[in-house]
Amino acid sequence: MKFIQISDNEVVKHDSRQLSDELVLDEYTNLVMLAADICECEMAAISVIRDKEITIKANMGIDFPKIDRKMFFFPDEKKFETFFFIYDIHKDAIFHLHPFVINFPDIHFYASCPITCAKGEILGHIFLFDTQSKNISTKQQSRLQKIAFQVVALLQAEQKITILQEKEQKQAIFLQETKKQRDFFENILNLLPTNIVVFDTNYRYVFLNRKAMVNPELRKFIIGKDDFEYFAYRNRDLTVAIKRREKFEEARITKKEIRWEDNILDTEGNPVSYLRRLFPVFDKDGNFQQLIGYGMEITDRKRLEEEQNILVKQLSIQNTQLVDFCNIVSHNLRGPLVNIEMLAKFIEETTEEAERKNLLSRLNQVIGNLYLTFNELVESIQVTQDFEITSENILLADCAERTIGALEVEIHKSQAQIRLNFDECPSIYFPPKYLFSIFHNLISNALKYQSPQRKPIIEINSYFDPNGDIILAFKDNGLGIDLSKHKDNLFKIGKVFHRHPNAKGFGLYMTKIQIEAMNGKIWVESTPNIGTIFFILFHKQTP
Amino acid sequence: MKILIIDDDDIFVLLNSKVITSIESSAEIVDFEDGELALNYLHEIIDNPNLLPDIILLDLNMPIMDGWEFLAEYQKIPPQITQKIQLYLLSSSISPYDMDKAKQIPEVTEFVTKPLSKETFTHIKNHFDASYTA
Repeated sequence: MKFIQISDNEVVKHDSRQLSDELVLDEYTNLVMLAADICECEMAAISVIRDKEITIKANMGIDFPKIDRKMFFFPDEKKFETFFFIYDIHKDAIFHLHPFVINFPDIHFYASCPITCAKGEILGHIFLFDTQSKNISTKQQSRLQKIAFQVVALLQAEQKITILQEKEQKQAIFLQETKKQRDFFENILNLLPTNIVVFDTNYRYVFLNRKAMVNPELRKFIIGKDDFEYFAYRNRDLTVAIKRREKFEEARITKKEIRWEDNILDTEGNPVSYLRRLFPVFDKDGNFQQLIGYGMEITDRKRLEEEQNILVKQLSIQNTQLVDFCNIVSHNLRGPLVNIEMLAKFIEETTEEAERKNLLSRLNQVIGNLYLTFNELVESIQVTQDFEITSENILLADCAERTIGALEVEIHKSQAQIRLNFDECPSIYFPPKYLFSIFHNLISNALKYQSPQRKPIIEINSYFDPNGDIILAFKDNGLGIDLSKHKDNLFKIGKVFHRHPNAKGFGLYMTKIQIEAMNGKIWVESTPNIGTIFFILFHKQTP
Repeated sequence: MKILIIDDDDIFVLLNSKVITSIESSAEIVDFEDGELALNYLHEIIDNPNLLPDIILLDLNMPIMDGWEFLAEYQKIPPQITQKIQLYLLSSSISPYDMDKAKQIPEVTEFVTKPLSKETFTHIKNHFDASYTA
């Protein structure tokens, strides 16, 4: 497809018809004068039969009255098919009744020469009149005949001009229509808030809408050029052009629409996202015709999508916490309540004083446990609901020292060795209460679940991951956990994986909740009898 | 009547035993605080049908190996041994999810929500007596 380029001044406005008409009329006049001259007559005329009408092309010395065809060719049309002349019409038996004789009493001589085309059809006549009676010689007649041929040639020329003029007019109307249509579509394409570009089979630009190229000079420049020429002209990175060319080829070869997302920087250096599509166009024989490129800015949509993803993630975490909480209520709170109910019943029923005392002490024990569980739950809810907890810049070494101090007895008893390395990332911006709790839980877990075969070695490191987030790792050489069995339950409340008198299954649950409340993550790697590593991710810090 | 209680809550085990003996004074009760210990015990006595329990009361929420994990292992024991044993899930859970899950396991006779009342145990005992005489 090619876009027809039309400028306003190319649309035909001047009327060439008028000019040629004048020229042709001059020619008829000349011929009439020539005919009069040859026959030495004062008056002459050239008439043309057009459909049923008779038109006077040129006349000299005489004006014809308006009379119908039948009267014009008096006495009958047959007579006018050949040349004839009448010496004196007033004395002619038939012609003295001709309307001309009545209208022009001075006329005596009358001659009529038919104008015949090559096919033999009569196109018109040359008439001659004079006030003097006279004869026409054969020489004069043959000259008249030649003039008649000239008239035929002139009529044909006139017809050709008319056809050309009609063609010209049709073309002018067509061009005007085309321009109107083109303006209509271009207007729409330019108003669309998307980039639309059309490439030819050599991937040269054929069309760009205004949005695709705002600068009108560049838009004009780029037409007929490909990306490589354009990128070179603008000193742009040619690898982008190479990548685009690959997309073009892909669309042409696969014959399918392709789409991709471009994340680039705009002219002001802000990141923008584009959704791009390429439609290859083929004719009915399957020949590649052109490529239509389409681009839409989706920066806002992308940002919304990302925000939504974050929300969905947060919601799913909250949902898991809610399910966990339902389990906690069901198992950890309802259990002790059932015990209390049964104990109360037995106390009511028993008649033995010793038994009653025994049951009462059990009741106190259950109530004590219930209180403990209840307080832990309240604590965990406080973490998930405390949106106002403030973070501080904490030196990891300080936090570790404080925890080690608090666990001094246990560490001493198990002769544990604790190795700290916070060189890469010495501090973290986090709520101090939570960070201390995390250190306390993970170090005391490592001590609690140490291997009986070796002295505990606990290594705590901080470093940056490739995204710039901080990772805090707690590594031990303890019992380890069979993750194939316990992976899903590891951080759930009340889940205990080792027989230990102090295992309650609350520490890791609390640690996870505190980390997630600050949008962090915790995960674990472990091998039974080798050890465990807990990893904590703290998102990019903006103190 | 031999009853195996698998539950980590020692007070609950004590209270249950009281309920059971108040109905069936001759009941022999054995208890374990988690699924793994109970499973080890079952494997030890598997060749001695006289020692196998008639009824198992299984808690769900336990350390080391919980009730579900125990059931997965229990299903691996040859059916000629387990089919004579009536297994009740006895949990404080009121979650419909747990109840539905229990229904999917053919080895579970019934899901019973704690507490174990005298009425409930009478029902369990009647059910056992009926199947025993049949």
